[in-house]
Amino acid sequence: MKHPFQHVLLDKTGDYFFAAAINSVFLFKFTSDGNDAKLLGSWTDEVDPYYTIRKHHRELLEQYEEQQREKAEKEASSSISNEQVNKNNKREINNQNQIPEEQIPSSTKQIMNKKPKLPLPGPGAPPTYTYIRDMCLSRNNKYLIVTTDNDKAVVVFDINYNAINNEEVFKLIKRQPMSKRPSAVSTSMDDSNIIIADKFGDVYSISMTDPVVEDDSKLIPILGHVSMLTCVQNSIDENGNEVIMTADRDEHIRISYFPKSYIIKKILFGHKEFISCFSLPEWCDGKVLISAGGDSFICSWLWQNKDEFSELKSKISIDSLVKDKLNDKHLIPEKFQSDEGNLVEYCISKIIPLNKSQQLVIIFERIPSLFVFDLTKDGELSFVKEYPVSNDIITATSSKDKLIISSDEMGQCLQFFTINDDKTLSISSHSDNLLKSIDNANNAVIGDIEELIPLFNINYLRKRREH
Amino acid sequence: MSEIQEVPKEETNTVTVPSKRKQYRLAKQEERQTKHVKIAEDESAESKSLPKKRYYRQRAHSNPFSDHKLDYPTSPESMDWSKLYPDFGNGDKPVTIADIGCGYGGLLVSLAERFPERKILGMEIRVQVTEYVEERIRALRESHSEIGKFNNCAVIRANSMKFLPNFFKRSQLDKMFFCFPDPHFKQRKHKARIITNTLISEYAYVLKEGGILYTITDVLDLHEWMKKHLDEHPLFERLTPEQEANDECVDIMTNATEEGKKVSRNKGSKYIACYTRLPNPTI
Repeated sequence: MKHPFQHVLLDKTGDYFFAAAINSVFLFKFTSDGNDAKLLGSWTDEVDPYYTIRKHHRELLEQYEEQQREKAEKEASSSISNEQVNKNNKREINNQNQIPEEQIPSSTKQIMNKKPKLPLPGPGAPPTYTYIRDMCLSRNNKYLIVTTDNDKAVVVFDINYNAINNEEVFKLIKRQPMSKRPSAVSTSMDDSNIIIADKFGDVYSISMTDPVVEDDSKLIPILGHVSMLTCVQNSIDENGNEVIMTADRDEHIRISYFPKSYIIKKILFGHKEFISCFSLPEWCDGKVLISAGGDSFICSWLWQNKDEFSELKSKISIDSLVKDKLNDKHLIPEKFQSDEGNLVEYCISKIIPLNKSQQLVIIFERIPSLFVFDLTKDGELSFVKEYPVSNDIITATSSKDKLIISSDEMGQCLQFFTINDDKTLSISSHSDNLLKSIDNANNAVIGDIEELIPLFNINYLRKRREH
Repeated sequence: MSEIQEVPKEETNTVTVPSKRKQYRLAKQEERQTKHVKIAEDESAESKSLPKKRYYRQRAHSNPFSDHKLDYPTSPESMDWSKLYPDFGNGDKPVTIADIGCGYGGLLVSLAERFPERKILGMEIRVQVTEYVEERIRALRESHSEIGKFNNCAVIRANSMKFLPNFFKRSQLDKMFFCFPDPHFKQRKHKARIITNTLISEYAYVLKEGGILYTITDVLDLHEWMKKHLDEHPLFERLTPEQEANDECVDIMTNATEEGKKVSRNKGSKYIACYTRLPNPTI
């Protein structure tokens, strides 16, 4: 069974298509008549699945060796105070015995009397995944940035679209591990820097082309929220200054200057639940920001407005669109469920601008429909049409007249839509052919459904306020 | 992980009988509610006793990253301050002094006396400690109702590391106090400290130009940490030793806070560092 694509990405020209399945990225080129796709190259992440455990173990081992060395030195240096040292050691060893070895954080300076073992997960341990979490193309289409799950790294590739040899397409520039898991990536306006937002709320800026890899503990964040970041994007403000926009799980969209990111320009207030994504559609000249997430509405912001708190242009309710489409998959976790057991919740997982028709496609988690909205240049948002599809949508991408959706349906994991001149969407006549070519090239094979990586996890961002 | 021990240990076995501490707090709470209803009537008959701290003890740590049940406005514009300062004359005046992590409210009360014309807000993340300060302010307001003292200070339960900008607009604050914050000794917990280079930018956002950020701690390591990060931040500059010595808030902060008194009792050292908010550089 082929694993579905958890990420898909069309480049600006609409001719090249990136797709990620588990730990592999594939690059396809559409033929000029559009009825076939040719695999240009691929890259598979072969990182050690126990990277973090091994790294931690290495640190413990170093600590242990150092302690052994110190101990030996101490014993050698003084014979009079020997008894004293032994006494101390004994006491510490006794304390130590109460804590299982694996639980000792590397930072505590406890005496280890045994050589630390590599704590490989046992049969009951939760699964560890090695997969590509996020993918982003630089603005000039030249570089592909992917983030990985296991070693929490940002991997940068120089893409050679014209390579004759398949292996030369993905040219690795660097693999930069981060101290916390990256949750969103973007690039600066001039593509010189990669902007990385992480699960702990910090944002880092690293060079795109410099192959030097820094030690993750030495990287200094350029800004930070005390909340998981879900989306990051650079833009240009009304005065022509570059800004960096960050959205978090605590309802904030913050706009800071870049690179002087210590100056907060403004904060956009209006969401009541977590924000999962925002978009700055091209046809609005970067003036309009659309954001959504766990709320029952989509926000349209004129974020460049001079008067503070006047930025929110409109809030469009989406409750009526999805109310009758909710099912067992949308039940809230048991712990928070009502006695009747019928509480459901939904969230928006993605906003995709369709540049050709100046519309937005909204995707809800685990709802098998595309919802198309009109968006005018001054931020007026209105619902147009729903396009039902056969399965839940994982993600989607659009460029020029193409819209490609990736769903969790095994035999039909991609669907190709054409954006028509009358702004309607129709299934491309070459859809089956394209799917066949791409599916054939996909070598991410799994045994059964259990081996799927987590595909629908946006709603886990929802806050359960307990204390 | 339960960071806030709402249920004391002795209580877990006997669910029906609340502990002494809880009973006391509930009684106080009820008193407060009935008090709100008949606000104009026989005020003098009400008890004017200050709450007893021993019934409100709570462990000193709270995880700032967890999703607490918090009340906070969607934006500073939607914040209704009149509930916090019902009897303060200048209703529209914004809060200009914030005590972040106000603890049992010693500094808050002293500042309220010293700056009767200004609105002062204490923010505290621990439920019971916040309740204590609420009771304390209520009792103080009652016992000084003739002269209208203490109507200018209030407390809210808040996670100011996450939601400070939900309460305060840009450049709203004049003074911010960080008194004896949780030191978070472990290296991996350093991001939980209240002064970090990323949070300082947020403090700079709510502080006006020339506003002052005060820090005091009895932990040298934390003092060095706060100093390092504030020194490095382009929007803050340390006050000169003379300025620090002459600032009366420094004196209040050193001697009025509960934690400050405790440190004095134990003959510990107190480390002070105060910074002024510099103007934004040109972008």
